[in-house]
Amino acid sequence: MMALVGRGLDRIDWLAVGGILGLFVLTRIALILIGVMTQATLGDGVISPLIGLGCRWDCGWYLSIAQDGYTMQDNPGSPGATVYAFFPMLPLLMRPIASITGLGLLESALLLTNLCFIATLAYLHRYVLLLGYTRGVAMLAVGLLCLAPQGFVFSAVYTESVFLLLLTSAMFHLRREDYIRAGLAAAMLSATRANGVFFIVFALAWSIHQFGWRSVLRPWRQAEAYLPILLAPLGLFVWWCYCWWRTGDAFAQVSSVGHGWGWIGGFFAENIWWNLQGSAESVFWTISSLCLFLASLLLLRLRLHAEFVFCLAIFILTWSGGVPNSMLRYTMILFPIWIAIARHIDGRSGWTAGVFGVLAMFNGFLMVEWTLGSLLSI
Amino acid sequence: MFVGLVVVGFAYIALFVWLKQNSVDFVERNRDEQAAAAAETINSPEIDWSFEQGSSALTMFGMGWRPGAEGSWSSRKGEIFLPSSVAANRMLRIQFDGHLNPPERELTVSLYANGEMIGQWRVTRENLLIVDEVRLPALHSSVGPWRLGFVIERPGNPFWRGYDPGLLIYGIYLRSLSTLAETNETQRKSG
Repeated sequence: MMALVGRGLDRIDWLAVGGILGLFVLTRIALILIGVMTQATLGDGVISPLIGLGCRWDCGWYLSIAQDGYTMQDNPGSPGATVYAFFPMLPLLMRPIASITGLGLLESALLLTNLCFIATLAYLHRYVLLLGYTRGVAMLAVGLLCLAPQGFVFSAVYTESVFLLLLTSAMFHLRREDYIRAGLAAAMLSATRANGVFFIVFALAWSIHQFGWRSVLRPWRQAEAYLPILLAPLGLFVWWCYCWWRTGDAFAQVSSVGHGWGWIGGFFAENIWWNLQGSAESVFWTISSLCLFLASLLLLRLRLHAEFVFCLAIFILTWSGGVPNSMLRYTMILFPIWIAIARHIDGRSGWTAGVFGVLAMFNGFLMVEWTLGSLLSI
Repeated sequence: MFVGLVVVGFAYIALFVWLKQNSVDFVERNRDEQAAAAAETINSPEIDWSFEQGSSALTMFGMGWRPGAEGSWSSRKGEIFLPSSVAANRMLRIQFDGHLNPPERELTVSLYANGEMIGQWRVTRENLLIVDEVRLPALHSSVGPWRLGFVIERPGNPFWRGYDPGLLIYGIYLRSLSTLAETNETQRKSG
């Protein structure tokens, strides 16, 4: 047994672990300091408990679900806005952690999201190595994700870190042709966020790239490769069935975000045009997502076609929503983009400094907005 | 293995179709139920429809509403419905108050009855509570029940900072709505 543990420990890349933890801790400390300084100098001067920095906007909804479950009670301030707008994976995980640790729900949620983010960084590192890039590129990608604008949500009570952990693990295991693990992660992914089921796009694109078009026409020859695709919608279907059971509306999530938040679908190009004519926040979100889209084109240079197609699908989905809220947050989780950027700045110290500097500035600025509860950080 | 995958695939499709056919928009259903209950309450010549604190509100949430977008009570697309039995040319007494965040901003609120504007108010920090009387226009026989819809516009710099973590940025709350005895009075009072 001891020998087994020893062999396991030997296989751990301690240098990478140290780097990942170091980057995580450093960036989180910086963000907390920015939050505290913002409260002290720009807010009302009252420095609330640090833990409060991790809870803004949607956090209250997730805590409410974890506390009281799903109810049809809507928010008096936004008629039609109910907890059904929020997918269940995060709140579902919060309660057991609270029970195990004895912590409160908020503390448990923060513990969960931060642990998920650390695990995400580890998966990201391994993913980059799996693609055949160097350890330097892997660590750069980890650094970029830690500094990604609005990346503080990875350490808040938001679904991003859980989503990203499941996404990186599903994609990683699929690329390693470990189909069962990939499928299980994908199934949980589709119960975490609405766009989780889009993993199918990646899996299909990867299958075509890996086995050729003919394999799609003759799927029985590599049936196991399609297991993740088939498992991916499972979480979504379970969620739909639950919604139907509780409300009589399987698509209660869509109904709630439509009525309560004004989310309506539209042609993505038209939405982009409209959003660029909108308020400062709207323009910022839209331009941010467009910048990330431009960066995603680097994936084509790296011939990471499956990753690019996946990112493209998420971009189109995000832009198709009639509300520009959170476009940056929805698209900065596309970790292949950070890999592509890392690969391109690797060995170019000027570019590296420039990219990290710009990202850090925007992340800091958005942390200020987040601390103040400004709409821009929603 | 392949057969199993095909079976699961078909099961997904069948389940999706079944759920689609057997689902009803729960927000709209709840709203309709509330509207039906309210209609029973107000289905009398003299209505007095008062709301509990915050029980009905029109808000412009975040960036989801472009300036000039039509808002409504109880949901983004719905409106408040008054039964046809509320006679045309009646006066309505309406009371609402505004929520401004930050407070120095202003709203312009317009009230429409079946598409025709029957009232407009400016909501400011000094004038958050609006009490006014409006006249319902003549009801064409082909028109169904009264449909009251609201349009909120926000003049000035659109760069607003919302401090309310409850997502409410600005909006108006309907407090009460009542019909008055038939009168020819057209003068409006503003509070």
